This record gives sequence, C-alpha cells and structure tokens, in this order.
Amino acid sequence: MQPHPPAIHPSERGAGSSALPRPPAPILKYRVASKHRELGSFASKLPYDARAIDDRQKSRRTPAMTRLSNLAYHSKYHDTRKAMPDITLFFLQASRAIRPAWALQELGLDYQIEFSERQDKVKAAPPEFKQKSGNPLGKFPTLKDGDLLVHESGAIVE
Amino acid sequence: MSICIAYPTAPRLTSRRYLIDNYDKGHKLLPADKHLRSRTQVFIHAAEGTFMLHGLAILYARWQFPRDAAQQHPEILNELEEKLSVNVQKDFDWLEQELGQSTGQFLVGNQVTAADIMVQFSIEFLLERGLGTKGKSWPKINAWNARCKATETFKAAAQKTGHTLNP
Repeated sequence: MQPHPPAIHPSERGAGSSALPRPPAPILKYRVASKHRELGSFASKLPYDARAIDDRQKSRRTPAMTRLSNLAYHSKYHDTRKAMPDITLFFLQASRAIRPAWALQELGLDYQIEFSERQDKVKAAPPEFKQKSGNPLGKFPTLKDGDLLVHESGAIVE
Repeated sequence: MSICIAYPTAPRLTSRRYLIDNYDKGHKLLPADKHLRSRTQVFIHAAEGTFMLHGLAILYARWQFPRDAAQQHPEILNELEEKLSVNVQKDFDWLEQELGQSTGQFLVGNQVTAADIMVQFSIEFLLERGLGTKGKSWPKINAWNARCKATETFKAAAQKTGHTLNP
C-alpha cells in the first residue's frame, strides 16, 4: 500500500515549499485519535466528521508547516508502521460479495470473512445472518470497517 | 462544539465509494487519468444499471410467473423471456464491441480496475443462469472473463471466500 507519495500539484504548492513530495494523507484512525487527545476526553464522546477536521487543519496550514511535516515524514525517525484496517466482509454464497472480496485482494488489504450459505443452497440468506450483518435490507455483501458499515457492492468497491 | 452541531452522528454511517475513497491511494482500481477514470465509471455503473437490470428482469419473471399459467401455457413465459432478452443481447454486443476497442487485456488498460471487478460478476451470473443470452457466445467477452478469473487476486478471493455460483 502507498508505495510512492503523490507528487505535489502546482496549485497546491505553497510559496517556498520544499521539493520533497507531499506525504500521503495519514490513516483515518490515527488522525481521529490524535484529534481526540488534543480535545480531551470529553470531546472524544462528541460526534465528529473526520474529514471536516482535516479540511479545517488544511486551511490553517502554512507553507512552513507543510515543509516541516514533509521533512518529518521523510526523516529516518518517521514511523512507517501502518494501522491495518479491521475489515470484515459479510459474504453470502453465490452473490455479488465476490466483487468486494476481489477488490480487497487487488488493494492488498487484510480482511475477515463472515461466510453463510443460502437457505437450501439457492434461496435467500438465513435470517440470523441478515441480523448479524446489521444491514437493514438484509442484503449482501455488507462490509464492516471498524465501526463503519457499508452496503451495496458498487458502493463498497467504488 | 461547532463540529458537533454541523455533523450530527447517525447511528450507522454509510458511504458511497468506500474502498476506492479510503484505500486506493495509488489509483489502482480507479485510474487518475480523466478519460480512463470516466471510462471505468461507465462500466462500474453499467454492471448494475445495465447488465444486472436487464438480466434480473428475466430471473424475476421466471420466479414470479404464476405456476399454473406456466404449466398450462408455457409459450407465454417463453414469449416474455424472448422479448426481455433483446436488451441483454444488446448489452453483450456493446461489451463485445468495447472489449474490441480496449487497448489492453482488461476493460480499461492492461490492469484490473473496478470496471472488471464490477462487470465480471454480472457477465458470469447472466451466462451461468442463461438470462437473455439464448445460448449465444461472445468470443471477446469469454476470453476476457477467463482472463479475469485467471488473475492471482481473483483466485485468492475465490479461495478465501469459497465463492461459487452453483453451490
């Protein structure tokens, strides 16, 4: 994953920014966790939108800050360990669920499978499996990433 | 607090474009190039909005057609299926033509993209269940489908999940 940091687009290049490529966006879990530490334990109980926080931070970022964070990213002290996503794919046999499974393989992501056969091999999904997935329509595939549930194979893949 | 007011948390969040948005930073599944990206998106949406839509119309007709009527007058269901097959035939002809125009082994270039991942299941399903295909064969589609299934990533996914269309 993320073998090369993306090159800086000319429009994003601040005045006097260094020639180093911009590091990839930090992984969501880390970003959220660090924001929570800043705000204290009370804030961690509040609803939030991680992307909104990121946009706010971006608007405040000066070229000097960008240069500093780029240097930090490329230094030998940068921690390159990645937080492996906690992904579970609810997989109903003979269904569209093969699409996200193949996409996950293509992206080189690790994932768990919650597998179920159909009732009588060819009919609908067993009710307990529908309930377990948490999908209100009882349809598969359903993908769970941490606390987040995503339905519809098209939406999961895209 | 402003964050709290502006973005009330739903008990369950759903997201469109999940894996690509969050994990495809290298533009593997959705190319970065404008033209290739829109070509990929055409296939992503055609997978459900064209192929599955037209194929499932036939499957649902088979399932829901009153059993007595199907026994007494099988020609009615046959005629219905015949008429519904027109769309599927056109869809497959279109895909055959697109594969002829593709510059690489897959629908968009020489690498697997979200286009292949989405459309391959639809094609496999329609062919396997004989939905509107009328036993016809499309050589480029068959070759592409075989290439998809021969990729290491598809084989790994099929092995890990135990996926089969004929359990």
